[in-house]
Amino acid sequence: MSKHAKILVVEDDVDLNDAYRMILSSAGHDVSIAFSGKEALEVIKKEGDPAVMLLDLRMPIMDGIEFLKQYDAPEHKETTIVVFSNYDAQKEVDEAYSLGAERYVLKARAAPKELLRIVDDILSEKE
Amino acid sequence: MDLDTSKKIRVLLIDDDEDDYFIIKKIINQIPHFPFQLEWASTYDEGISRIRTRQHDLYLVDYRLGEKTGLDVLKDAAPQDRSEPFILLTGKGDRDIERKSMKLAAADYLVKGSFNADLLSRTLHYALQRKQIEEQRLQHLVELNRSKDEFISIASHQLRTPATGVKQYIGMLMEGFVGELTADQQQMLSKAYESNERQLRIVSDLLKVAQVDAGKVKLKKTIININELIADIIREQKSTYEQRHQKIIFTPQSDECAATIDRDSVRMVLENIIDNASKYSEQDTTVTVVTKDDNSQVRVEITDQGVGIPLSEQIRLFEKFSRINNPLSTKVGGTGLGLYWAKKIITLHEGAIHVRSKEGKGTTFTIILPKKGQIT
Repeated sequence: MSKHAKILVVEDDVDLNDAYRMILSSAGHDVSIAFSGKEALEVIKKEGDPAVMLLDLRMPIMDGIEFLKQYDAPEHKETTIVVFSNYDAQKEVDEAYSLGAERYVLKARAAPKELLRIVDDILSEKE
Repeated sequence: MDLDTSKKIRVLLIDDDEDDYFIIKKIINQIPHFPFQLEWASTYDEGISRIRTRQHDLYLVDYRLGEKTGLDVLKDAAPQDRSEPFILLTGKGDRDIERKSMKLAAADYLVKGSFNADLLSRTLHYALQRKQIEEQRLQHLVELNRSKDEFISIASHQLRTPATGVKQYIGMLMEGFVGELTADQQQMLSKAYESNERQLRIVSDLLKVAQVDAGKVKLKKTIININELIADIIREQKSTYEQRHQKIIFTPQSDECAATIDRDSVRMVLENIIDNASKYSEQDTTVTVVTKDDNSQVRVEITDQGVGIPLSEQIRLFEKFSRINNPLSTKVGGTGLGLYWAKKIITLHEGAIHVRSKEGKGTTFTIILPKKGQIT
């Protein structure tokens, strides 16, 4: 693992949220978690912008799209937002991109080591 | 269910005889409360162009129309695809014409000179009413089909989340997150992982098919070099071929095979067929891929030395859920959706996909893609 960074996992499924936290922590990253867009906004307010954010789209209380609108992603250039969703609906993904998300990953495709590789890739691009 | 009687029902008569028009107008005006408004087209061409404007509720079509006949009108207007009924008129009772007109989806048939206001009124009203019921049934079926597609889509998406969870946790175990595993443990987990991957693939296939069936696939077409695309796919599948002790040879017969396609979907089609070629072949066999550019189209041929497909099964190959029995089909365990989807995608490109095969000898899939097309 090359670099360690602050990562925010925004995922409403408890088991997946747990898994991503464990995988990323094991590689030495500093991981925060949120279970909805609303919680994510609160975490960011308290802890500041993460370097990388894994953002689910379909979540209760506040979904990923609404989060992107409120967070105003283009204003936070230091944060790379990866849409991490199992809904491969083109329209939704396009909307997320237009709101400042930079990558899209189908959750079902990303095994633990792929998740780490994606984060590593982003971090080395930032160097 | 009542027809709306507040406004007049517009009837278009297509008839080359002016006398017929006056006679029918007279009869129609004898119908109590004057529910119908009659208009007249005196030639086949005028009739067809006025049918296209879709301003009428019902058509009366004379059998004799100069060089054409009323049956030609039915053929060209396709009443089965329209919500307005067509009624054929003829000079004398002719069973043959009657049968043909019914086959061409005419709603009814009237013999000129043999109907009065009462019969005409009843015939027109019944034809309208029947068509209305038919429309409602059709609408109901369309809605039913839509809710089926929606159900498949929602259910498949729901299935993905728990399977993704399984993938993460088995993945963590296999990658040693909680300590070293014995060889047996590793092997069992690897089987569980693969089973789960298969389940995820089925979910993806179901979603892709539901999308294409619902007409929701939007092609983003650009000019793509098919040779590069195939070389890339082969590079990706190389290790799989090596693991199975198989060879894959790519022979482009033209330098550049540029076609106007949606890269992602055509790539998935080619990936699927190149992967199938390996899966349905034994060890120590070779798969060859040949591409050729002739000015109007790009042709891709993928040939294996595999188990082959019996002729009787070849026609079912591109059908939904078709599983062909062969010595390797249980081992491969596909969904029967890949080729159905492939055909749909290639057809959307206005291309073609064919199969030639001999049992025990091998199979060739040919994909033809148009070179030119609108970039979207």
